[in-house]
Amino acid sequence: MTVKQFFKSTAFKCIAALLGILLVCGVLLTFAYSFLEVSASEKADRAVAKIYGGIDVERGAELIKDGDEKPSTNLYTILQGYEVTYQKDGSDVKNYLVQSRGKKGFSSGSVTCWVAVIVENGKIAGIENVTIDSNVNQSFIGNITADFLGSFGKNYEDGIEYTADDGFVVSGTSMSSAAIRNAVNGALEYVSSILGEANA
Amino acid sequence: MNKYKRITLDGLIFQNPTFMLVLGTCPTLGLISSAMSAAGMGLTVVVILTLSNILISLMRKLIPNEVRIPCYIVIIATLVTLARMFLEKFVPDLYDSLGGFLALIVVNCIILGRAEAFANKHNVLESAVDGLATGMGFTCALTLMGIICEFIGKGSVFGLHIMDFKVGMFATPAGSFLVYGMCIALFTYVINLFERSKRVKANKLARENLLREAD
Repeated sequence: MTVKQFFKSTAFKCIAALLGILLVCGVLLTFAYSFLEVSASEKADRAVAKIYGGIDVERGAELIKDGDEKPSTNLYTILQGYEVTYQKDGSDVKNYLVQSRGKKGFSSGSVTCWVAVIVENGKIAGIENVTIDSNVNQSFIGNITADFLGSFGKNYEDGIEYTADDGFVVSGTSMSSAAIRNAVNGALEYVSSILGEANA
Repeated sequence: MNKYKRITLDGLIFQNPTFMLVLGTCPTLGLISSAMSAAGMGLTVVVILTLSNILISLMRKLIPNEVRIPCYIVIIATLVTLARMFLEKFVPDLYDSLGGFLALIVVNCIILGRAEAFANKHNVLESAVDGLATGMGFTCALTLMGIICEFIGKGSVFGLHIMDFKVGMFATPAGSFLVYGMCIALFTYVINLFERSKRVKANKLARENLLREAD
């Protein structure tokens, strides 16, 4: 086959059409990403708005800096954390807002949650609330209710580890609830370790 | 009958993708336990289906027949990725509730099916009308079943609490499967009734014409 014949052949037309479409789509997605990307800071602001509603909350610096190793086990990975403070009854309330990825969800996926941990006198005093940030492969995440997410704070006890046997599970989406439990337990462990270091 | 009216009625009723063609069952069974998720999924599919039909119809003469399916998939995947980015940025709650099903739109057989069966053989306007009508047929079916499942399974509709009595199974894919089956049976029965009455009318008219000619 000569070069001229190749450029006139169906094979060339197919390659050109596919590459052309791929190039146009790639360029379009690159531009779209720069406009529609949701930054880590924007995600944190959304979590703050969801958890604290209309309260004026001051978000401190990131606890995990770029390049720091992220605390991780086979059940969770801590992605980010912030110290947040707000006024309640005239005094400052300090919380740790932790972005924790719970593993072992449905189809080996994960659920990333924001957990607002209340700290009083250098100790964990409770959980303000839990919200879902994102998920991987969790087809039935829509079945997770606000009641379930609120149950972590309502049932907090010192040193608690949330388990399915204690009722921290949603029927029909038990694997996703397991990932959320892992995220919450991980966040508590992480905040404990920070407070332990601070108190040492 | 007007061409566009026929395309619209086919997409909405006579070739309804959910009830008549039984396509896109994966998101149907996964999402109809909540009316809001079902409607959100349906509307996302409307946008993607209409745009993919328009683009594929525009490019139908440029795309060689041998590589048409990979080309369609690339176009559909790009549209789905754009839709995901848009929802994550502007409607994060809906984005979260749709979960993995949003990404699965890429392989939704309704979208690829309409591209292959309709958009690559018709002009842009007809393809756009077909995409819109088929998408709306899918959305209406999903929303209707979502309302039924949420009402029976959770005692609410679009998140608004209506009654305390609920049968939890209907909020799971197993209950969705039951509702889906019953809706298909009912829809097919109504369409059959309609077509039978149309046939009876046509036969009666033909008989009257014959008798008139015999007289």
